[in-house]
Amino acid sequence: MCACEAPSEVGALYFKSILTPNLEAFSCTQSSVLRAFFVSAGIDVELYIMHTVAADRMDFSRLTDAMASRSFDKIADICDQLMLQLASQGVAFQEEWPYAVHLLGHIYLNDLNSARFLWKSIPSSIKENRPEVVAVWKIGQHLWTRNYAGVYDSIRGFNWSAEIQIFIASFAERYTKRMLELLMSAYSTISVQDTALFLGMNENDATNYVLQQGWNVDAASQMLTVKKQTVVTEQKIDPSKLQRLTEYVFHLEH
Amino acid sequence: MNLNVNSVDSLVAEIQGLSGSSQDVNHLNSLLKQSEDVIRSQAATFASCLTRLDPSLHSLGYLYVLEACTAGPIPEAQANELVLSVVRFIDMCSVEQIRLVPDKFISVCKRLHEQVMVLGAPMRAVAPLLTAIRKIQLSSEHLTPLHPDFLQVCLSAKCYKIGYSILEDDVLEVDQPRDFFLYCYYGGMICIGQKRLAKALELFHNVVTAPMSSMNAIAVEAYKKYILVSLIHLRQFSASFPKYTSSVAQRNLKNFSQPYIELANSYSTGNISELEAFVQANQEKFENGNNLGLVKQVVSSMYKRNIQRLTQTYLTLSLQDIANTAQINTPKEAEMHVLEMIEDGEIYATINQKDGMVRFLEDPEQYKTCEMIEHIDSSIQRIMKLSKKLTTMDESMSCDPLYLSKVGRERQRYDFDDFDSVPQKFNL
Repeated sequence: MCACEAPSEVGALYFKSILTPNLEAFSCTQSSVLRAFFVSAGIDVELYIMHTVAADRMDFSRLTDAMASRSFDKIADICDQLMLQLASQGVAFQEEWPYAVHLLGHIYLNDLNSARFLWKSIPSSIKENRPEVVAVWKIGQHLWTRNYAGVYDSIRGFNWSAEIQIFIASFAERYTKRMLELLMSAYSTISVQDTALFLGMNENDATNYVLQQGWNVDAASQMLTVKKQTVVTEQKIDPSKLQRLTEYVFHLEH
Repeated sequence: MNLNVNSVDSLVAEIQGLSGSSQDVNHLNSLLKQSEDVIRSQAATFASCLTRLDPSLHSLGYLYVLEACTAGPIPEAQANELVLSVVRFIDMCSVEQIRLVPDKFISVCKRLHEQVMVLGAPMRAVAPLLTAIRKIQLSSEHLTPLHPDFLQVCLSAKCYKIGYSILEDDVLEVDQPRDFFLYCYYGGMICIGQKRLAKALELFHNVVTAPMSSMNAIAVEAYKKYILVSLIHLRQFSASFPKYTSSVAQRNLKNFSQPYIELANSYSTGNISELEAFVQANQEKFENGNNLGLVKQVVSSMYKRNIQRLTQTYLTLSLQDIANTAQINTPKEAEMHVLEMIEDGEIYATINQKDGMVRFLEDPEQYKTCEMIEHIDSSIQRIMKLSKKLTTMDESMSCDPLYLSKVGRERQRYDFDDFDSVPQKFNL
């Protein structure tokens, strides 16, 4: 019990170096022993052990799993939850936090509000030292100001690290699809030049891409005629709705 | 029988012994209540109990001691430790036990809020306070005194998304009016951040029209934001109050929000340069009210307002004409504004770049898709639930002796006619 007399940091270090390797097994299989130990050692020690456990449990397994299985739409929620959990345990997570991935997770879902608030909460030292975080936010800024072509510039303008490359590529693909949908809903005719900007391609590629969607090109004026998408929506109603309607009428009459 | 609080040992033994059945726990509660003053006056001594109690098994006893320990001033050096133990308690405590003394639980949670602010780490309280709300509230319709605290830490920690998650619950039960005012005000601010302007408007509206007997600062600030959000979202503002607004609010709110009323007046003219000049001249006032950001959004929404009005008059219009009438510099800029509005679903239109024309369309929604029917269906169900709730409240009120005696007296005084069977003309 010498740790109790020593300054707290020393205690934490002691536990971290000696206990950590065994702690995982310790806390699962022998929780009653652990509890007894805590009870006799007192709350300070207990909290420090919790702290040490937490720091080592800055456990990104769910995140790495989601990244590995390319479930990019889940990244934002996983990061949000993990961050709040670590924060509540008093873990200073900021320095090691995967801000770039977290930001991109929000941007991927087009949740620019959450991306913006996350950016605002990032300590300035991290903004200065981690160019990749800034680069991801640059994409967010262009989306925020609706600089449609700027989004592609900021995607291409940075040398992304291996961990995030696929995520970025997947976002870019998704964004191009969204832009195509926007063009189809908003334009009846549009210039080849503008189409290329919206889709982030050169004019040739863009023309070929939209021709595949059934658009027409007028070579002389360099104008594309948009082919509207016919959206098929489910219109069948199942009989249980009729039951509901009966209930409503009953409600109204009583 | 009195609780043996002569020593830490005996208190621990009593708590451990009486934390089993619900009967025991109730008994323990009444015993602890009697010894409350002793525990409180010697909080420092009893603090060591905490290390020997299990927060999940002995929640009630743990809570009494924890509350006593946190009641006094807390030295900054101990803030971190205190926060950790409160967070752990919130996480592990038994719902049945803490609900016996909700006030104590709430005051411990409020201390948590206070201490994370002292530590400059509001994010530490976000998840715990949400857990605390879910544990202490009897149903999702119940507004607890912790709701405002939770929303406030969400705002400070910039965790708007999780803050927004509790705003989706319909609130139908309120303990303290102040909680409701703050909940709506902070909730409105969260919604502004999440760009859920319709919901923000609803929440601010609730504050402005809530019953009040005297003016309060929350209502004034909510009214200012109500005006701004109304302009941004509805592109107009109606200065008249609904009938059910308290007379205090009707008489005073406008006097407290003069520059905002004038802003709304200037907005309604549709003249952008005039509006910009007005904002420039009153910049300081808006800045002091922390509303300058919203005011700037009001100004930029003016373009959209002007374009939207065009859709009501024209079927097709050139980009040049749109630029001219909506006071936009170039046709290309006008095109970008129109595109943005189409993207956000605010108008229905197609742009023809070749001819430089815009064709305004009708809303394509035909209200016959399954999705729309689901939507209408869930709305009807919510309304039905609400109307049932109203009926129950009405019934319980008309059986309330206090209400009946008051109504009875007033009827005698005013409704003389009810008792008078003599025809009117003889009444002269």
